[in-house]
Amino acid sequence: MLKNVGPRAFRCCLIALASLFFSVMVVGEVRSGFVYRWVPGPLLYFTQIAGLFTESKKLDVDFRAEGWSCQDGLFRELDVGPQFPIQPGNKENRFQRAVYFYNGNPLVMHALERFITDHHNAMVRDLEAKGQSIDPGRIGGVRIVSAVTPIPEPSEGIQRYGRKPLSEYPFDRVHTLYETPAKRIWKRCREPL
Amino acid sequence: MPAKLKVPALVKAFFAPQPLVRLEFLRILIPLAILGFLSSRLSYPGEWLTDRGFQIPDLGHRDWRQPLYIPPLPLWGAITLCALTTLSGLLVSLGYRTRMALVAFALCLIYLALADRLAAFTVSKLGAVLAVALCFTPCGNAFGLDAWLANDKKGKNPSAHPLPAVTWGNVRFFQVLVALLYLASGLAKIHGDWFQVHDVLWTHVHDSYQTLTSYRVARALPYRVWPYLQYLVLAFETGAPLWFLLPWTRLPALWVGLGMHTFIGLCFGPVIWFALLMMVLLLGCFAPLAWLERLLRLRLKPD
Repeated sequence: MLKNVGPRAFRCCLIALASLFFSVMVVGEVRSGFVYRWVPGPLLYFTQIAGLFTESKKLDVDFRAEGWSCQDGLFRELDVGPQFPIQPGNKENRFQRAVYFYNGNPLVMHALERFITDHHNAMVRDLEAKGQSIDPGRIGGVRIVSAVTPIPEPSEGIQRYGRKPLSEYPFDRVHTLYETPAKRIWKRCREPL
Repeated sequence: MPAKLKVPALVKAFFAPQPLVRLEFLRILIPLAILGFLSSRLSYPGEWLTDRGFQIPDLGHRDWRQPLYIPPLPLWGAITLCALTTLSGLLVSLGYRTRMALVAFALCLIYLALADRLAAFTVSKLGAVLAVALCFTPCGNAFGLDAWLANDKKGKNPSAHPLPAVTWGNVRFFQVLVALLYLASGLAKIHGDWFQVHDVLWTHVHDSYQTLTSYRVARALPYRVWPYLQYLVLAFETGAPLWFLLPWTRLPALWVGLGMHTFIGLCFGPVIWFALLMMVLLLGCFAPLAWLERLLRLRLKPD
């Protein structure tokens, strides 16, 4: 028999800790409020591993960003791929996750808006220095929207998933979640790039 | 007909010494599944862990979305952390300086899971728990470079010696974790709408997780089959502690579990790494020992 790691008393503590971990993991799935109150956040976090696909999907929600084109004076869809290159094209992308988790939190949405605007304008500046351009050019702010597709009825069959441009979504399926205040947009558009 | 169930025999078997081969199987494959999952993030250390990428600001209060605020790293720190995670994970899998590598790997995984909630998924959190648990086991004593070097020094032929056993807790932790993880998952589904809606699985194959396989499966599979699959999953998960405890349901449950994760891995795009991690856990914890020994002997054939 191989020697255990640590003395007997230490192993007993490990068994107690493991039992506590298992209890929080199982109880947390049915009485989350109870464990949230009593278990420290960072520890609780590692027990939240079981709640996958727990609800049916009614809608497929895709989050998008539009930039206010200073030149055209309207919102145009932005490709946030260069700013969020990890896991592009699916809901594990950091932009998708940020809006999913923090939609409605002004502190985070404001930081997100500033990050996208600054990085897009920096890219425009770099390209202009090389004599190239990007569409849209300089932006004054962003509008973050959710584009919603209902899950088809079984009789309708399944469609191959593909990312559509925002302009192809019907008007009533695009909902604004955050928009840079107009005052800030005008200010940024007037500042030198 | 299965033999009569004897509770004292089950209890005695639960606390009996366990074969080391289970731990070694987990030690070799768990880091690979975790590194596979992390690979898409590890290749962008700047965008992931520094303020070159978008980072959630400090919310300043307890929030389930930010269990602990960790400020962004400098770029050199992010690159070092990513390199250390990869290196330590590979060393654990190879069984070289296993204990030290396991401690480093576990600490890196804990940091990575806490540092970025936007990139933390079940694999990040479960992976950290598994790595910490492996730290407290005597794994690395066989089927690895440490064991090979030790045998070489002593002039021992490993094939001539049977593998030693370990005390029950070293292996039972992983087995109980898997069984209770499924139970918790089943309870969460019951708590959700799996009893109210009969096509939950069908509704999940339409979004950006969709793969060519899930598209083809959904086209080929008659709609009436989906509810049966749903209730099979629910029965498997909520009954998992029982299925894996009873000797005569263990193997069928293992096959159902492997089938379920194969389906998930093929049909839900990036969830493939979660599926592979769970398949490694299922095999390492519950596969017949002959399977594991055959797999590992093939991998590192003794001289």
